[in-house]
Amino acid sequence: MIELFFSQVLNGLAIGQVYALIALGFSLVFGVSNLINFAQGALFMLGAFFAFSGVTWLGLPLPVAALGAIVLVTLLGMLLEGVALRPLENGPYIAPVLSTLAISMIIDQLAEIIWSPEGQSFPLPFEEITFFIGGAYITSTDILIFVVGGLAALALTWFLAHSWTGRSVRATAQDRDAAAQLGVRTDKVRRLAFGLAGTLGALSGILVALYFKSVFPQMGMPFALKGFSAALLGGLTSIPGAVVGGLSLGIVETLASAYIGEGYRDLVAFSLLLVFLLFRPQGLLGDSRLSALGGLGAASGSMPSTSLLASASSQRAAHRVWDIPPWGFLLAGAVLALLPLLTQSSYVLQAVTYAMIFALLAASVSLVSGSIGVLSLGHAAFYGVGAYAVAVLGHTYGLPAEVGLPGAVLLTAAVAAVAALPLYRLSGHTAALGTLAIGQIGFLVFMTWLPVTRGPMGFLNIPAPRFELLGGLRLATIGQKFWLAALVAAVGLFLAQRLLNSEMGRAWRGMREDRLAAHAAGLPVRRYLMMGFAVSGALAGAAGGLFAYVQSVISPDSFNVQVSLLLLTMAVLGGLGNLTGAALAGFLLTLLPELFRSFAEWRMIAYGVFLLLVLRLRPQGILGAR
Amino acid sequence: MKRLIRSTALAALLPAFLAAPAQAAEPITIGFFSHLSGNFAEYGASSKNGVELYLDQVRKQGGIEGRPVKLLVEDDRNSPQEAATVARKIAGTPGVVLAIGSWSTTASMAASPIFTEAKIPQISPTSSHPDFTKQSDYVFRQNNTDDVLAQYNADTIQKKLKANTVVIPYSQDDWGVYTGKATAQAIEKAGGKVLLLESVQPGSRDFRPFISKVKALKPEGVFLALPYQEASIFVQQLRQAGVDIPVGGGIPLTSPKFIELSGKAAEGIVLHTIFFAQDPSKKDFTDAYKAKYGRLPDQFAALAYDAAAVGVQAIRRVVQSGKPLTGEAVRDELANGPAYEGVTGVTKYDHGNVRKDPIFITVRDGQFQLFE
Repeated sequence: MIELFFSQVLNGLAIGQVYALIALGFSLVFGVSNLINFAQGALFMLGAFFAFSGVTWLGLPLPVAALGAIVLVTLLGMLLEGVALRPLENGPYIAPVLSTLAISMIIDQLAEIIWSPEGQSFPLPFEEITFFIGGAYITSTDILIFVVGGLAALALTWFLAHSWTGRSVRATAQDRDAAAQLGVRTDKVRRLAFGLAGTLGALSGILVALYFKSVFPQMGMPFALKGFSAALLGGLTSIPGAVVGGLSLGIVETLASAYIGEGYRDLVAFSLLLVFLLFRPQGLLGDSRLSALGGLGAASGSMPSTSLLASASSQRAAHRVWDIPPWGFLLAGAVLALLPLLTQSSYVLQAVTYAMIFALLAASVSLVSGSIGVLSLGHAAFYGVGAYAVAVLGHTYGLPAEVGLPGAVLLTAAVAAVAALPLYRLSGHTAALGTLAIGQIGFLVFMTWLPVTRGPMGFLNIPAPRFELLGGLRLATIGQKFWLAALVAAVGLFLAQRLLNSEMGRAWRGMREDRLAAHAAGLPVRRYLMMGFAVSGALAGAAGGLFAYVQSVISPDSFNVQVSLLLLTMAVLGGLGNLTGAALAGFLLTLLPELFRSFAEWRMIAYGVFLLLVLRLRPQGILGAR
Repeated sequence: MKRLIRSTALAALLPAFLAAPAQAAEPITIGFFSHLSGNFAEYGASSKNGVELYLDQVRKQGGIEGRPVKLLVEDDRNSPQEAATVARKIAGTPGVVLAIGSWSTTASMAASPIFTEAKIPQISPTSSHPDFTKQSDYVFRQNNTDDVLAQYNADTIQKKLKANTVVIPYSQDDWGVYTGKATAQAIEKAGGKVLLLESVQPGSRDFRPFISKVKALKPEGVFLALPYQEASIFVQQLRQAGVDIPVGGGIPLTSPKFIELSGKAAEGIVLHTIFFAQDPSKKDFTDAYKAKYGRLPDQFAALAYDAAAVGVQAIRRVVQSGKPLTGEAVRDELANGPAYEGVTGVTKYDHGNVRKDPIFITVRDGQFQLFE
């Protein structure tokens, strides 16, 4: 019994070491540039694949291939900084994060095209030996990972503590402006930090490939998520913290797998993260500056405001905003409602229905990310809650649509409001990580809560919407469901826009610009934050409910992190906080790919490039952020 | 790109055909949808190859009773939402009387209500979840249901590998959840004992906590209800931990990728399948496939080939009978047609389901071989 426990702890340390390495690269960049580098997962995956190609395509011995891969990815990390981040230096605060996100979308998809989406076997250069200690065991690969990983962490610590360059890195991390005034070339330091992040990313990628003896183009995202979590647990900017965070995450999830069940391991890992965000947002070894109500940045120096739209100089560049008054949405809905009279093609009607649903979703994300200023990377969870609510109420309990749809809206609003609580004490990019965890937890709950969600099997035969109050009116065909979607989307957007134009909207934007000032001015910040999330949740819930009715089959796949990323992309392209822009971007970006069906694999790449271009040329979005 | 050109050409030709008076040469259109990009896209491509190979052979024989056959191919990216969209597209194309697709049960099921509404029969080559064919009278499959497969799973581990106390890791997806539970029931019914039945999240890579538990329980065998990617890492980590008990598996592990990814750890694993490319009695099909695509067909290609065959035979019978060719008529012929002997066994529909016999295979010297 106790032997099993110790062997599980040993297993946890083995995988935890891997998380620690990813967390290190991540913490380094965060410390220096106060930026969450979403491309870390992509660099990690590329490291593994470059080494793989070196060995299998060029026939190099593994150490040479590994070294080559590390050098390449290090250069790539520096290139990333130069191409995607440097031009955005004076852009809005949000732009660099989004551009790392866009780059990771592009790299991940390109990798699937180059190396095929299938996993490949990674050749081990040595015969693996397993050492047994009673029932527990440790393999030669584990020892290699421990040694290389430990050496990397030590080398990094020594470099940061004792070398002159390392000192300038730390000085930049502490206060970039002060360091710059003292003659530190902070731009070079930042480039160096990205290069080092690439080094560590590639190294951990290769070690992970050795650990699992295989490489997968999809390996970036899951390990990056764990790496973020480990860094956040450890305290984000602390090097020992990243190591401790990684190891403890590894042990906790292994014990969860051992004593609760393998299927619950990720759920436990992300729930732990959320609990930490709630009670100890500064992490295990981090300092408490992170928990500041809003005035201070997470780690480096001071961030002038919590506003995602403000630039480093705290100035908001003036730009034109195009948007339509609230009644415009009703008009647009009325015009769209004519479509079923013009065409009988159920394919066209279904595509436009999805486009309307995504318009509603993008607006929901835009409200939270733009107007309230909490970058949301987990909105698919709220979307899913709405869909499952309609499925459960309509299918399991056989309730009519007048109960099902409002039920979905209210339930999602409540869930979103509660989800806002752990985010309250976080600012800037850290809050984004919190939403990412919420999105993951939502997805995992849909997957594992079998009695209610039917898990991965999904819900089938969700009955068509039926209105008892209208004499049992049943909307069975796609044309009829189209009208329901047009009505709900138009009314939802109308109400949301009215709210944003009211006192409430102004209070939200005030909180976004400076939460501390809003607090000092007497605004009940926490309550308003929860209300904002509730409104956004209501919109997402309505969209989810419509989706369930239209598709009549739902499964967790429709609510994963990719959907969240896509929704954020739409909201940013339209202009954060601009409901017209979000709705338009959501509508068009859902409809346009239909025209290019044959190029489906290039779709995510196109979104990524589009996002990069917009960030570069018009960072406030096409129609202008409000 | 090729597909784009082809569909554009088709779109250009279509009005010409529609304008012509209805006559014997009017083409018959079959819709096909599966995942041709994204994860597991190779399986979708295999299925498409199987269907195209059969239709090529039909065309060489002069079409269906002299009428040309067209295939409309759509990509659903293995996503239910996309499947529903392409199903609308296929159902909305004039002249479609049969749809073949999709690969996963979830995507197939998302499409079914749409085909049922349009009165077009749908044959999923691979879907195995029992609920799939319960949806309506218009839904058919080519694969055994998971209930039948669960019995074969139990036979693999109990009769072939002689293990009576078993541990089952199952994948938390539509296929795994049902298979895991049904296999456990079948094993217990046959007098065996399931010591541990536990779910694994799709995409999991680290099974060491699970394997430590296996070591502590000391079972006689392990049955893997996992996709091949997870399964290959599982067996490697199992062997690495010094556990050398017999391992059995189901259809997903018959992919050659499984052997490639697991290397030596795959040796001695016993699997069941309904199609085995090295089987001499399937030589005609295997050779034709190899000549056209340059590699051996897998199970998905074989099932799709049979799906196309069964569907075309039903269409042929409708045309022969002189009845108007509608989806409804094709459905009736599918449901009531005679038994068809294909490359994956006999198809005789009972409420849209089939029952095909298993072939047991094992991994020896890095290759699949018949298990005796």
